[in-house]
Amino acid sequence: MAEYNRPLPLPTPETQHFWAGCREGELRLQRCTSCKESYFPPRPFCPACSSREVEVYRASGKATLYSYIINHRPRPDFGDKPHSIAVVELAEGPRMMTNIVDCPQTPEALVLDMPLEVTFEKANDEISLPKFRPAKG
Amino acid sequence: MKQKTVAVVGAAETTEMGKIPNTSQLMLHADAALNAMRDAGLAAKDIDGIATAGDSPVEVAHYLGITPTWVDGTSVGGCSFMLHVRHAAAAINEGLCNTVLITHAESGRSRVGARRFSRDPASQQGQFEVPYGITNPPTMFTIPALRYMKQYGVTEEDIANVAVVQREWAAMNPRASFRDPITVDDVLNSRRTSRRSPSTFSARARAARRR
Ligand SMILES: [Zn+2]
Repeated sequence: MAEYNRPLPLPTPETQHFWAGCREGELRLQRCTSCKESYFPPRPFCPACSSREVEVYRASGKATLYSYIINHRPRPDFGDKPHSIAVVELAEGPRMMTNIVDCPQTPEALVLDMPLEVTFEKANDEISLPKFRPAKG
Repeated sequence: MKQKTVAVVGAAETTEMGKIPNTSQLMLHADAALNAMRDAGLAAKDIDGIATAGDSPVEVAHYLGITPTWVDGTSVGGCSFMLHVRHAAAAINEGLCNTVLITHAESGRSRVGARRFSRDPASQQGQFEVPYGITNPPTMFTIPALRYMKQYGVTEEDIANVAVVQREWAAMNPRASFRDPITVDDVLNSRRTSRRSPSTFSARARAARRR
């Protein structure tokens, strides 16, 4: 596999658990123990009620396709093949940006609200990116 | 907001428009500022407030020879400069300063002395958006379009019409880059024949293809 030359995240103390989870093949979300809100991106407090009483848990990895584009502009890092840039809605509620993979990058194959599941793309020993593919079965 | 006697006393653009490869971004600020100051009959010594976004208002003030008592660097995207006008009016009303210069400059195509399009990989965008390929308006602003179309029953033709109407307005501006009228069909066809068209709208239309 070619060397990964795309931009990569640099985890901060508040996001370490998330990226560690991705490295280990699990999607970790956070949930407020006061108001029960699940949220993303990671932070050590609840954006819905401002409580600091929050917990990390393993999310189902299930999502639906909320919206997306297919970028056709060639880029040195992403190459010249059309690729999706998507926002998915996780089963637990929060939305996150990602790419839809393992399917043609066409409007016919990418239908809004289609069921998806998480898959992890290893970039290096530190970073694996959570991506989503059409749900199997 | 209290209303006293605050007025826009001068306004101008850069001397050249379009692609300006022989001028740095900072000088674009200064060029537009000097033109506006001339329009108002003012010099640097007459100005005691400064505002800009993206670039540093301190840098622009130093460059122009302005010693401000009031500074605003509010930076919230393309509407920053509208907020600056509002903030400036409030500041003048409150007696914090008398005359404010608001500048915007972008060496958008030539990139002379312009900031690089990069984000700290530890920032929120750097961690949770940039790795998936977003860089600039064609890859960022377009993402919600498909959801919007589905939710509100908006068609490709509806969205193409935005570009048509924008072009009608541009035709009335002698300094606009594109002034020839276009139709909804032009917009939709341009997308289909030129899937790599660099224009933001074609990216948006492409994003908004049938679901
Ligand atoms: Zn809460």
